[in-house]
Amino acid sequence: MDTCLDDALKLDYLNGLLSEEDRARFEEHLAACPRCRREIVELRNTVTAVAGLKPPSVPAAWMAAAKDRLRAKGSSLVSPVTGKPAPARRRANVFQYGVVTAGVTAALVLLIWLVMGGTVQRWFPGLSTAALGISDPGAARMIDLVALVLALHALILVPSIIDNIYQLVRQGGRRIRPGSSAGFFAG
Amino acid sequence: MPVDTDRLIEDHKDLVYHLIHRTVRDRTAYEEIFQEVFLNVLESLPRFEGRSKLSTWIASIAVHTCYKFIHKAGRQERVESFGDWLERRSDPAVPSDLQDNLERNDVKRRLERYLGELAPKYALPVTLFYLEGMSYKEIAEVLGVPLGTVKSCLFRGLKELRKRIDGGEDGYLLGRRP
Repeated sequence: MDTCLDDALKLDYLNGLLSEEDRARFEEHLAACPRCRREIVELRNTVTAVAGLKPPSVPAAWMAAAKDRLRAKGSSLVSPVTGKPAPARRRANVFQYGVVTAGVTAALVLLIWLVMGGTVQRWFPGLSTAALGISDPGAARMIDLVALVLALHALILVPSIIDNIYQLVRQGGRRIRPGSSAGFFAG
Repeated sequence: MPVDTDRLIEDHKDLVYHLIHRTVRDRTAYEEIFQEVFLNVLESLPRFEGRSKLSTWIASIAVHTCYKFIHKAGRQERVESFGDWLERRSDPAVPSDLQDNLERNDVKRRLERYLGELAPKYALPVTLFYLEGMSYKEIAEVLGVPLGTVKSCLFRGLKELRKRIDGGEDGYLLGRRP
């Protein structure tokens, strides 16, 4: 090999993550390149030293306070195993969800009623089929039918729309987003 | 079923503490951040979907909580704490029969210090890979960065450590060429 190997390859070699074939090629290069050989030896010593460090221990005195604080908080939260919310919290969520769903459904039903009952056409003559240039009663009925089907379709989507809105609102609050520490890596 | 908070803390306390230790320099804030991490974990638990290991997920919350703390603390975070100052003080002379053991401990202490001096973007991948045994992929999940970034930061972290070792007086103990 004429050129030196890239850092990712060196790292995988140090960490024992290269395939047999790649390792053989890597070592072939090392045999011919004193610079890479020296670098690998130095980094391997560094890795060995780092791996020998003992992770720090949590001061015992902290545990009681942390547990008390979290126990109080934890009693109103959910289990990671079952994924089911604890009763109090669940009731609150179901109530809020139900109120919003009922409100949106009622609004849609009212809208359909206004359209189908001819109220819209009476209040807004510009939107009537006649005003739109549709004189054939059959075509007008067909348009009403299409509007009804679209409205029913929208009604079916209501729960998932509400659910998505809810998720967005909840995420916008005091949520900690795992993996959003990319700020460390800027620059 | 309520969460067994005691178990949750016991199982992950060392990982969380370790990450705080590697990320935040102000030791006086450790306990507060430690509690904050677990409060955030409990609060976010309903949204945990089990797509990654619980420990990976908790580690990502720990890192993010530390990041928020550092962001809030701003420049003050860079000020050396009294504990750090004490640690940096050189030890008094010791009898020669204890010298070998102490030298070894001293090297570890210095290496610990060098690792603590690294920027979190280098210290965290090194810590998570070599001390917490996580894979590149898990580290990428914890830090929320691409796999390639993890690898380059891990490699640069090792190089930075090497540079500090070479610059210090313990290079010969860690394979530095005279």
